[in-house]
Amino acid sequence: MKRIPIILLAWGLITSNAWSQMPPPQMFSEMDGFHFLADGTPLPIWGYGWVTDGYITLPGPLLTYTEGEQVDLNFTNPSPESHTIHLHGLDVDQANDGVPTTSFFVVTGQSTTYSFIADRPGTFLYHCHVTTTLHLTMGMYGMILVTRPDMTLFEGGPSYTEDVPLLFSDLEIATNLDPVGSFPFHTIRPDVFMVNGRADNQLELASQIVSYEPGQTLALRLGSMAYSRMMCAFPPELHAVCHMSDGRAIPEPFEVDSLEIYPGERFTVLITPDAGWNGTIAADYWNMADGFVEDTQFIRVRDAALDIDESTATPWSGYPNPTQSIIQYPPALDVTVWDAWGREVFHGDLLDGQLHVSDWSVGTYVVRAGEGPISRFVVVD
Amino acid sequence: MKRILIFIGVCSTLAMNGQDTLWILPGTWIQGLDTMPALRSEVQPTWTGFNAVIDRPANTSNSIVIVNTDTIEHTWSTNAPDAAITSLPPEMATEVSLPSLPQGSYHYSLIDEPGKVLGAGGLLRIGWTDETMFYWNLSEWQPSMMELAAAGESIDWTLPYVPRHFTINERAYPSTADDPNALVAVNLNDTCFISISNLGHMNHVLHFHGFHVDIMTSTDHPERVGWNKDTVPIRKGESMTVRLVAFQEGMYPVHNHNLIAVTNAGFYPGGMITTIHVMP
Repeated sequence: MKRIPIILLAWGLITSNAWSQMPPPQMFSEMDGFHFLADGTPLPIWGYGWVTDGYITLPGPLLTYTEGEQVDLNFTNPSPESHTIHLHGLDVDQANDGVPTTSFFVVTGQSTTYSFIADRPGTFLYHCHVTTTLHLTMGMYGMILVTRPDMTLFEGGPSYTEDVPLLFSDLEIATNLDPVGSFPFHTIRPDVFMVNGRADNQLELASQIVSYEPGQTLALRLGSMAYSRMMCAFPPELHAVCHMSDGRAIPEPFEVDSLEIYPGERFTVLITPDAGWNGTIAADYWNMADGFVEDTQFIRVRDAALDIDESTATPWSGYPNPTQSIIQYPPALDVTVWDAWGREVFHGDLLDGQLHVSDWSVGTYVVRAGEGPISRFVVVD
Repeated sequence: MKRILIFIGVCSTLAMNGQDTLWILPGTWIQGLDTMPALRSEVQPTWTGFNAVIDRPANTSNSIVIVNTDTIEHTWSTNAPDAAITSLPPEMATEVSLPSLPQGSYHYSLIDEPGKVLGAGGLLRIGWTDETMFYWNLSEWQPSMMELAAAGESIDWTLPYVPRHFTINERAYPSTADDPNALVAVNLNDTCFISISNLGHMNHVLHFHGFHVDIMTSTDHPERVGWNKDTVPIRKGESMTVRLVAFQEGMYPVHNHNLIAVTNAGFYPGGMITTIHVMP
C-alpha cells in the first residue's frame, strides 16, 4: 500500500516533465484555404488553423481556456502577408493586443507568442488586425471561451451543463474571389450569412444541431463577427435568460425573447428547453446602413431523444489524415476533390474507398461524395 | 448685409458667453480628396468645420441663442425626452429654451432634411462639471447626398446608403489624434468619462481595446446602465456616457467594429478610430 503513492508520485514527475517538454499547441495563418458555401461552391478564404491539422477553417479554431490560466498562444505565419491575432475583449496589455501600429506585425515566416492571463470567464473573440476590413471578411477570426471548472458562468453565477459556441459572421463572395479588387472597402456589403461558418442546409447537419437532454441548461455563447447587427429570436420553450455580455456579468439578468448583437459584441444566454422540443432560433442579419433584414439563418435546437436521421448528416472522414499515399474512405460514388484554390483535381467513384494521392502536391484538399457533407484532408511529404 | 448686422446685434444682446450662442454656418468641408458642402453649429461666427459642444448644469432649465446664418429656414431640436422643436428663420437669431434635464449626454441637431444631411449637430452635456471629460460626436457622410441637400433637392432615402467618410468630432483617423476631445489621454489609474452621440444616419458600434467601460447614461438603452462592456453599440440618434478606468498604461485603439467605418473613402485605416493613451 505504501508503494502506491510513491509510484504515483514518480509517474506524476515523469508525465509532468513530459508535458513540459511538449510544444504547446501552435496556431498558424494561411491565405490559400477555401470554404464550401451551402450550395457546394468552394470559396477562397484566409484564416487560422492548428499547425497539427495543417489546414485553416472558417471560423478559426475555438480557443478554450480555464479562468486564471496563464495562456501562451503560439502563432506562426507562413502566409505571404503579415497577420496578427487581436484578443478581442480580453483587455490584454499593449504588447499582446495584436494591433500592428501599437503592438507588432507577424510578418511572413515569423512566429510569436501572445501571453496573457485569462482572468475573467466569458465569451471573447479573436481576429487579425492587419487591414482589418479585408482580413476579417476573408475569414480571419474565431471565438475564445474562458470557463470555470465548476461549470458556473462566473463566481456566484448560475451553473450549466454544456457550452454551445455560436459565432455569427458574414462574407462578400466578390471580395473573397478577388481580395485585391475589393477596394474601395467602404462598399463591401456581405451576401453570405453564417453561424459557425455554416449557412442554410449546412445548419441542418447533425453536427450543427444543438441537442439537449431534458432538464439540461445549455450556455449559448453568442458572438458576432458580422458586418451588420444581428437579431436572435428565442422561442419561449427555451426559457432563455441573458446573464453576460462582453465577458462580464450583467447586473440584472433578464429573460430574453429577442437579442440584438452588434459586430464584436458577445452575450451568454442560458437555455433550459422543454422536454421533447424541436425548433429553431432565428438569427436575422440586418443591413447596417439601410436598416432591413438581409438574411435569416436558423439554429436547430432539438431534444436528443428525438429521432434524427444521421446517415446523411455525419461528416465523411478518411484515414490516415494527413496522408502521404492513400487515404481510406467508406466506399462512395460520385466523389469530387478540390485543391486549396478550389480547382477540381479528382472526380469519380471510389468503389473500394481508397483515394491514391502519392503524386499529388503537398497541401490541403476538400472531398465530397455526391451532395453529402464535405471533409478535408492534408497531403504531406 | 443689413439683416445680418441686425441679427448679430440681437444675438450679442442675448448671448452671455461663447457657448450661449451657436452659429449655424454653411461652408465647404474637405475630407481627403472630397470637397463637400456642409453645415456646422459653431461657437463663433467664422467657419472652422467643427460642431460645438453645449455644457449645461443638471436639473436647471436655461436657454441658448442660435444664429442661423444660412439662407434657408432650419429646424432645431435635441434628443432629450419631450424635446421642443424650434424653427430657425434664415439670417435670424432665435432664443431656444433648454429644459431641465438629469445628468447625462444628449445631442442637439438640425432635423430638417438639409440640416440633417449637412451635419450641424453636436453634444449636449448635462451635469458634467467636475469630471475629466472627453466627447465623441459620431457621424458618417455621403458627399453625393450632401450636394443634393445643399442644392435644395430632396433625398431619396430608399436608395442604398453608402457613406464615404466616417468621423469622430468631424475628424477621420488619423486626424482624430489631433483632437484633444477625441484622443483620450489620461494618467494611469485616472477615471474619465466620455460623452458619445451618434448624429449619423446608421448605427455604430465602438470597440475599446485594452479596457471595458461602464455605461453611465443612455438615451436609448437605459436598461444597459451599469453594464461593463468592451463593445458598445450606439444606435442612430442615441447618446450615452461611459466611464473608463485607466488601469493599464499604453496606447489602445477605439474603433467602430462595423468595419466599413474604419476607412476613408475606402482606404484602410481611417474613419472612426481614435486612441486611448494611458501615461505612466
